[in-house]
Order: sequence, then C-alpha cells, then structure tokens
Amino acid sequence: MRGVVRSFLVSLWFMALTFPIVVIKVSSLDGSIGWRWENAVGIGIGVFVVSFIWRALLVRRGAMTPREADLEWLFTWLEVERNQRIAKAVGLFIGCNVPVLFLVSVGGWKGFLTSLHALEVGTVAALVLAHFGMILGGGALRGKQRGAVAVQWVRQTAASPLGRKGAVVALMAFVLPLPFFMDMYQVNIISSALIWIMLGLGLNIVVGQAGLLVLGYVAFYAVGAYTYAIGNLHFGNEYIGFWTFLPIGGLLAMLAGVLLSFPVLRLRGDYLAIVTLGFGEIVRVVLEGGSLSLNPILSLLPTSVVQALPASFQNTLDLGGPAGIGGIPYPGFFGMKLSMDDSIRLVYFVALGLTIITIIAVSRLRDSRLGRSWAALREDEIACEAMGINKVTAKLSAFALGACWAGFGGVLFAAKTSFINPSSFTFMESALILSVVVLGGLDSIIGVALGACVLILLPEYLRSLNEYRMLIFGASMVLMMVFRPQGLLPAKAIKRTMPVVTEPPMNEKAGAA
Amino acid sequence: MADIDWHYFLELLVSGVTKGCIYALIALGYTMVYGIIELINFAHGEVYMLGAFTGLIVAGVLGVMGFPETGILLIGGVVAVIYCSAYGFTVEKIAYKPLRNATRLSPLISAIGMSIFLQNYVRIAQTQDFLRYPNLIPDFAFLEPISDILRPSGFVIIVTSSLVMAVLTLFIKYTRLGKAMRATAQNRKMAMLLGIDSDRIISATFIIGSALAAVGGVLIASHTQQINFNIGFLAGIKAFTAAVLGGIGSIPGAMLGGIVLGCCESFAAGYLSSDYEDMFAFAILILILIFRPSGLLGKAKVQKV
Amino acid sequence: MYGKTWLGIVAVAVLTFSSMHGAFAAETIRLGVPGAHSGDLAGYGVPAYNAAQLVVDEVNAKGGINGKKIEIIAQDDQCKPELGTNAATKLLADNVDVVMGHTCSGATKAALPLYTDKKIVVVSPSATSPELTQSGSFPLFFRTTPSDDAQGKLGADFVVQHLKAKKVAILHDKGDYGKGYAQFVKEFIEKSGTDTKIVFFDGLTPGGVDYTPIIQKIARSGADTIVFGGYYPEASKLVTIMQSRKMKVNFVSEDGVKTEAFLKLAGKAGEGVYASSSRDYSDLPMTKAAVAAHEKKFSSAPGQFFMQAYAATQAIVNALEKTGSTDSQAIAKALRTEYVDTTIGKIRFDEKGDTVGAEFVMFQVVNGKFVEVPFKRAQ
Repeated sequence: MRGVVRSFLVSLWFMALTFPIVVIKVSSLDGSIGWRWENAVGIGIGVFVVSFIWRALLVRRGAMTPREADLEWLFTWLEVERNQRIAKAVGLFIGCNVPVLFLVSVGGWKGFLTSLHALEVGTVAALVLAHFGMILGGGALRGKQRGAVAVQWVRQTAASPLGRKGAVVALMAFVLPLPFFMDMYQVNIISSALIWIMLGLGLNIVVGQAGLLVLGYVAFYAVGAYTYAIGNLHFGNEYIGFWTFLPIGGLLAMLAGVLLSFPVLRLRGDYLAIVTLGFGEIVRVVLEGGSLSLNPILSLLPTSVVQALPASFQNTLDLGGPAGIGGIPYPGFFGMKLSMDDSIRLVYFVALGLTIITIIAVSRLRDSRLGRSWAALREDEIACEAMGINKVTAKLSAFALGACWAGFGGVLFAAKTSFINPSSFTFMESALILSVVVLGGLDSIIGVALGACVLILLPEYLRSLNEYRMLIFGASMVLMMVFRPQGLLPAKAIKRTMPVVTEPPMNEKAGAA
Repeated sequence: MADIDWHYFLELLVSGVTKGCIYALIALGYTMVYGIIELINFAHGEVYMLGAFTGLIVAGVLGVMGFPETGILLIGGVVAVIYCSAYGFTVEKIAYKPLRNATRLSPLISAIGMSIFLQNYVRIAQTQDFLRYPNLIPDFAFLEPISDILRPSGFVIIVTSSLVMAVLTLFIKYTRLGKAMRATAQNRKMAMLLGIDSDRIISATFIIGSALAAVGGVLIASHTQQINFNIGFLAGIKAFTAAVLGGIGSIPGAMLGGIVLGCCESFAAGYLSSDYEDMFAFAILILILIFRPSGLLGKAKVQKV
Repeated sequence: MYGKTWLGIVAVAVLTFSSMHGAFAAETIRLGVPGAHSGDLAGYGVPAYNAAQLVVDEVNAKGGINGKKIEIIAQDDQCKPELGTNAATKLLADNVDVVMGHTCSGATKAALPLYTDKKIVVVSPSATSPELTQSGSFPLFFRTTPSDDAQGKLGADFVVQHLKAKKVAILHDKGDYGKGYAQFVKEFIEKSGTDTKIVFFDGLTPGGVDYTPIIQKIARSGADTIVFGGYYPEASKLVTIMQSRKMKVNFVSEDGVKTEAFLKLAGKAGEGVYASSSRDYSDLPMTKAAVAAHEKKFSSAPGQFFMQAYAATQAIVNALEKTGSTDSQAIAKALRTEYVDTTIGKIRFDEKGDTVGAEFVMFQVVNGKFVEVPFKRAQ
C-alpha cells in the first residue's frame, strides 16, 4: 500500500504546485480574483492515476526497479501468466479508448465527431488497428505461435531482397494514388510532412551522421525558399520556374552551409550549437530587415555581368521584409495548365519524388567513404583525425550536404504555400526539425520519416482540440522522449566485424568466398 | 561625431547593465544545469515566466487583502521563488531524470517539449492576453537627480541581482552543498565515488537555478509592468546566448556574459540601429567564439584520449 | 475464449464509430473561423473567434438563418503562412460556406488563392496589407479594418496638419502590420511637402526585455512626435519608459494600440497617446450588448480586433439572410450593396473589398478613455 500513499503524496504535491496558476484566476477585466477549486480536484485525481501508470511504465522501461517504484505488489501479481494477460488486456483497452474519452471530454460529442471527420484515414484506422492489435497481442500471449509466425514473416520479408522490393512496390501502390482519394487538406498536410522528412533527413546528415549539433538549420531552409520567391519575382516566366530554381536553391543553401562551416570548424558541441542558432537568427533578422546589400558580391563580378543584371540586383536586393513575398507559382508540369487541386496533387508528387531521391541518396551516403568518415567524426574526433581522416573536409561536406537538402525543401515549401514571410523561419522551426530527427531516432532513415510524420501530422490531427492542441503536443514530446529515449525507431548499430577465422584453414575459406 | 556624448553613453550603459543583469540571472540557471548534466534546459525560460506569473497572482491576492505595496513585492517575490524552485525540481524529475543515461540529445528534445507544454499550460489556465504587472517599486528620492539615467526599477534590478549573485558565489565557494556541486560538475563519477549523492546535487542545481530565474522574472515584470505566457521564450534564448558567451558551465562567466550581451544590445540599438539589435548581439557572440572557442571565461577543455 | 471477447469489443467499437458517423450530417451553414488561436499572436486571433461565437450564438438562439443554424468551424494558423494554407484546405475540405478570418496578412495572403479558387467569400477582421484588396486578384475578399495605406495616410495627415510636428520619429515592431503602417506614414509625410522631417526610422524586437535604449536614441534625435506601428504591449512599454523619463513627446499609433488592454497596461503613462481606429460606437446598445455578452461568456474584456470581427460576422450574417442562399457571388453582391448596422457603424464594402461607411478617426487617451479628436483633414 506504500504505492498508494506515494501516489497520494505525488498528487498532493501537484495540487500544491499548480495551485496559483490553475486555481486562482486574476481577471484581466478588473483585477478581481476568481477561485477555481474544481480544477485542483481534477488535477489531484488525474495525477493520482497517472502517477501509477507513470511508475509502472518506467519500471517496464527499466529506468526503475519495482521496489523503487513502490509497485512490488503489482509486479509480483504480474508474474503469473494469466494475470499478465489480464493486465495487458486492460492496459490495451484503456490505451485504445483513453484518446476517445479525452476527445469526448474536451470537445464534447460534437468535438469528437468533428475530429473523427478529420481523421477518417488516420484515427479510425489507428483505433481499429489498435483493437486488432489487442487480439493479436492476446493471441500471441496465449499461443505465442500466431504472433511469432507473423513477426517471423515480417522479418524474413525484410531480410530478403525480393521481399524488400515487394514491400516497396506495395508501399508505392498505396502511396501513389493517395491524392486522388483524399481531400485537398489531407494531401496538403501529407506534402508538408514529406517536406519535413526531407528536412529531417538533411539535418540528420549533420546531427545524426556527423554528430554536429546544429540549431539554426532553418536558415538554409529560408535560403531555399527565398531563392525561389525572389528569383521568381525577377526572372520567373513560363520557361524559368520551379524546376530551374530547385537546383539553384539547393546550391545557394549549400553555399550558405559552407560559409557557416568555416567559422565553426574549431568549435565543439554546444558552442557549435549556439553559433548556428545565432546564424539562424541573423538570417531571420536580415529577412525581416527587408533588404540585403549586394555590393560586396557585385564588386567581385566583372562590370559587364553586373550591368546585365536586372535593376533590382544592381545595388540592394529587396527581400520583402515582414510583408513577405507572394504570388509564388506552383511547380509547372510540362507547361500544362493545372487546376488548383491538380497543382496541390502535383506538389504532393514532387514532394514524394524528392523524398524518395533523398532517402536513396542519404542511405547511399551513409555507406560511402564520406559517410564512414562522418561516423568516425561523430564517435571520436581525435581518433578520427588519428586515422587520417581530414576533419575539415568531413565537417565541410556534412554542412554543405545537409544544407543542400534544406534548400530543396525550402524551394518546395515556397511553391507549396505560394507566399512566404520570415515568420516561417524562426528558431522554433529549427527546434522542431531537430525534434524530428531525435524523436524519430538519430541516424535512422525510417525513424526520421516517422518522426516527421508524428510531429507534423500530430498537431494537424489534434486540430479538433483547438486550444489544447499545443499543450498535448508538448506533453507528447516529453512522453515520447521519456519512454523511448532512443527515438521511435532507432538505428541499429551496424556491426560489420571481420569474420572470425576459427577452424577452417585460410585456403578453404577463400574458396568458399 | 567628434566628441562623445558622455551622458548618452552613460544612459545606454546603464540600460545595458540593467538588461544584462536580468539575462545574467536567467543565464545562471542555464549554466549551472549545463555544468552538471550537460543539458541545455530549454524549459528554463518558462520557469522564469512562471515566476513572473506567480508573483502577479500573489500580488493580486494580497492586493485584494489590502497589503502595503512593498510588502506585496517582497512576499510575491518569496512565493515566486519557492514555487519556481518547486517547478524546477518537478520538471527535472519528470522530463530529465528518466533520461539520465540516454543519449545527449534526448533530454534536449524533452526540454523543448516541456517548454511548449508549460507555455500552453499557463495560456490555458490563465489567459493569452497581456496582464498589467502592478508597479510595486517605490520611487526612491535619492534617484531623483539622475532619473533620466536610472529608473527606480533599474536600480532595484541592479542591486538585487548583484546581491543574489554575490550570495550565490559565496554559496558555491564555501558551503558543503556548493562544494559538492562543483565536485559533481568537475567529475560526476568521481564525486559519486566520494559519497556525493549526484541525484540530490542535480535536484539542488535545478532548484537554485529556478529560484534565480524567479527573481529575474519578478524583477523584469516590475520593470516592464506587463507579462504574458510568451515572455520566457525570447528571454530564455538571450540568456542561453549569454551563458555561452561567458563560457557555459562557468558561473562568473554567466554573469559577465549577461552583462556583455545586455550592453552590446543596448549600444547597438543606441549607436547603430535597433532593427538589427539581435543581429549585432549574435554577430559579437560568433566573433568571440571564433577567437575564444570556450567563451569569455570558460576553460578550454583539453580532450584526453 | 479471449479472442472472442476481443472480437466482441472490436465489433462494438466499430459499430459505435459507424453509428456516430451517421449522426454527423446535419443541415447547417458552416462559418469558417481561421486565425491565430495559439502561439505568440493568439492575443489578436482569439478575440475574433470569441466575437464570431457571440454573434453566432445570438443568431442561433433566434432560430438561425431561414431555419438553418450556423456552425462555426475554427482553425488555428498561428499567423504562419504554411499553417494558413493548412487551415484553409481544412476548411475547404469541411465544406465551409463563408470564412471570417485569418488574423494576419501573411496567413491571409497564403490562404486566399485557395479560397478564391473554390469561390468562397472571406471577410477578415484584421488583415491590413493593402495588396489584398488593391491587387484585384481576390474579388471575394473583404475586410472590416482599414488597409495600412489608408491608416498611414490618416496618421501622416494628423501628424503634419493637426500636431504640426517638425521632427518625427517612426518606430515599428518589424511585423507585417506595424512595419506596413510605419512605411506608409513615412511615405505620406515625405510626400506632404511640408517642413516635417523624419529624424528616426527603426524597428524594435517585439517581446524584448527593455526598450530604454531606443527611447534614449529617440530623445536624443530631438523628435517632437513618435509614430509607432505595432501592437499595444510594445506601445505600453514604450510610453511607460517615456513617462519615467518625463519625456513630453506626442505618441501617435494605430488600431493595434486602440484597445482597452492598452489603457490597462499603460495606466497613467498612456495619457495623451493618439491612436487611429474606426469611429467609436460603444454607446450603441448593440455594442454594449456585445461587450456584456463577452464579459458574461468569457469573463474578460473583449480583446484586440473584437469589434472588427463582430462587425465582420454581422455583415456575413446579414448577407446570408438577405440572399437566403450560400452562393458566393450572391453573398459578395449583398456585402457590396446592402448596408448593415454593425458595432463599427453602418457599413458596406466597396468593389475592392474595403469597408465603406466605417469612418476611421483619431483618438486620444484622456482620463483613461479613448476620446475622438476633432480633426478635419485638409485635402
């Protein structure tokens, strides 16, 4: 019963802690004081229940022993297989239905229905799947065979090249026709998520692979977006458009990455982080300032080239300031005239294509010579140098390549929203991209993709909760980290050891290979 | 300009130092936590915001009960300090303690999540509007002659934060707990082997850091006389910058960094353009880090293999 | 045995879902209310949402429009362009009939092409960027707030003709609203051809810890008038610093400052501040009722852009009633032709989408209240 006492004390603590903020309300109207005792009661009961679950989950994660959590009785009880099954059933049932209860309690039935409407594809599928998961889980627990067979099947498929190809084909067959079945909103937010997958994978090169903590990644994203917006303003016509600016945006972002990496080559860890944060802020302030002096660059160019430039490039460049730049066209498709819906669909396909290219490129890069040198740099800078890896090249290339993808993402972002202003490129965006990478699983491609989907789609799917949505978003970020600190789908450490030669003599082994 | 306008210079210097003191108070929390568990505690700015809110609410309640103004300021400050310490302690237990052995970036993300959560917690439980913070600082008669340079609130900020920082320095230097904190910051494993309970030290660090942030929160709210749920974000980033500028992990460094940053911003706004105030602050940070990669007072760590 | 239990649960769950889905379809008029409902600009978006709720509650209590209830679909965009497009596509997917909103010009600019394509009428209470109406690319866009250039012209005329300022300092908050206003004031003062000089033009970081250096710099420039483009929190910080320095300088600002919250935040320091806004109709029974309803439902005073949003929703409701349909062209025509009594006066909209009938005048804080300044503009 010590567990109950402990939970009771925890709930008392939280009631006291939240008391001034949650119970007392100073009216902005006349400075009068309102007392909301019902909130304290709610928090007390909520914390009492959650504290049990919290400790039980921490024990399961291995961060506590049952003794430390005062939950010995629970885990002793759980040692019996039958009880385990009951617990699992109860847990899953609660787990599946708590979101429903929550939605109902917050938004009432109507809010819940609206959310269902929004989530037709998402939640209902997830809830139904979760309910099926309970069957499977129950079955696996009982016989262990049925579940095991399924798991084994998945493993085998993933292991064989043919199976993997089959999985990719199946995935594509699911993903490609998607925009023709969903409404434009779903297409739109999935395109957002795809752009964020690209950003996440780009940042993953720097943070996950090379181990350089960057907090100003959004600056490169902004470079890409503004390249397209400004370029389109001055040069855009029916021939020069999205497809021209896509590589240019990538290249300019790459250049920005190289520029940034020079001063930070000497810095380590968090000093690097703060300098990149500063860089991001500087870029944003320049964008807000609204103009950029081009004279330092122009003075390097021959006069004939400068004179050939349009008037707006002769001296200072107008960046639009806080009013932003609008009228950015959607990507073109062989000069065809597309309706708005088709354009949004096209953005989806472009985003999908670029994401696939990114995934292929990133996974190739990881196994390349460069990728290996990044891994070495990440694990130990000194040992890496001692091994004869050029640290400068490795860092420069990590920054350049990482930034390049942000540039592509930025160009696509500008095309997708058709209007950009500096408010899309704040520090919060940088922090969110980093969260995508860490939350999904550092250095894991599928993990980063999942992270992007969770962090971009979660606030969208929580829309029906309206004012509670960012609260829950913040809380779920903490929870996901606490219970899965290694990320949702962490990368498996690649183990490639030299084959241990035991019995067979050398010549025989050579023959076998 | 041929000759320097000293009066104007002094004005800018004083407002820079005032701002710098606030940055320093918040930066101390960042730097202490960083020194011990190498975590950038992004939720620290929100603790500062909670301090300001708690102070306001207490002031509201006491105001209805008819307390005198100075009394309200003092009691409000003390209650805010106590509550913020409790918040700091709780945040550490929830969001960082379970991640003690995880990779370095996991607690960072957890901190970002915590920051979003706390902001919205206050927004929903209280209001999204700006609230007026009562002017509780009395007009000191002796400040009258220099009132265009130093306002009473500025005076209180400079005096209080110098006092708090002096106490902190003595505390860290001479008390048992302070020594244990320094030992843990230097080498946690070794400190544990010597019988120091590192969990307790970490909790203590969070409590002290949050208390300092609360002092900063109450002071700045009395200075600007308005708060909302979002004030912690910008102040947090600035304070973090100050901590790095001074050399993260170093306590005198955080104080110096805060004041240098405050003065940089003030002079940039006064002599150049406030449009690019933040840019100058960060540009100076980058320049300093290029020449002193461990900040102003940070010790360059020699990497041992 | 367990498997069967689970199957039962699944069946029940699926059944409840499907049955609930069936109950969803009801005949309502759907009013989309997108805006900044969270994030740092929530203080400007939430009041509009509240206003829409109050108007809709009132209409529904009377039985709706031609028997149809109005249903509000609120979407948050945090004043960010990309979330603006998400909110817009979400509203379009939910088949809204009319939209009242988007708080900021940025999000509005990003979202408008989508609404325009689907022919949805949009009435914004607070998007002030001139190009929204003047570009002509958004024929179904209306707003109940003056565009930056209209307000900038009023501010400039006031400074030059009424205050007869010699040296003007212009300050803005680097946002699209504040900077837009500041730039237009600057432009119109320069064009006025008088000896009024602009001695200072700069921006400040909203939410900054201390603005003392900026005030010091302005004081040093010898300006006799400060024009500020931005919102009330920064404005009240500025005037508080000015008061403590005993600076006697005119402070002129716009709609973002003319709010009760400014009076409360600035207190005594706010005395004498000028701010332009639509003419005050707070004595109208309708306005009083609106404020009272707000205090009753949300137990707080109405916030920024509440009146504009209230008027926008009233105009929409009126247009819906008059046309009796949800056809966009008809609604737009009604908005352009039918005068409607609102909390900001008897208004209709012109061809471009700007308000006709709501006069924008200059106010001054006198004894803790905004009082209209008698000021006739020389043409």
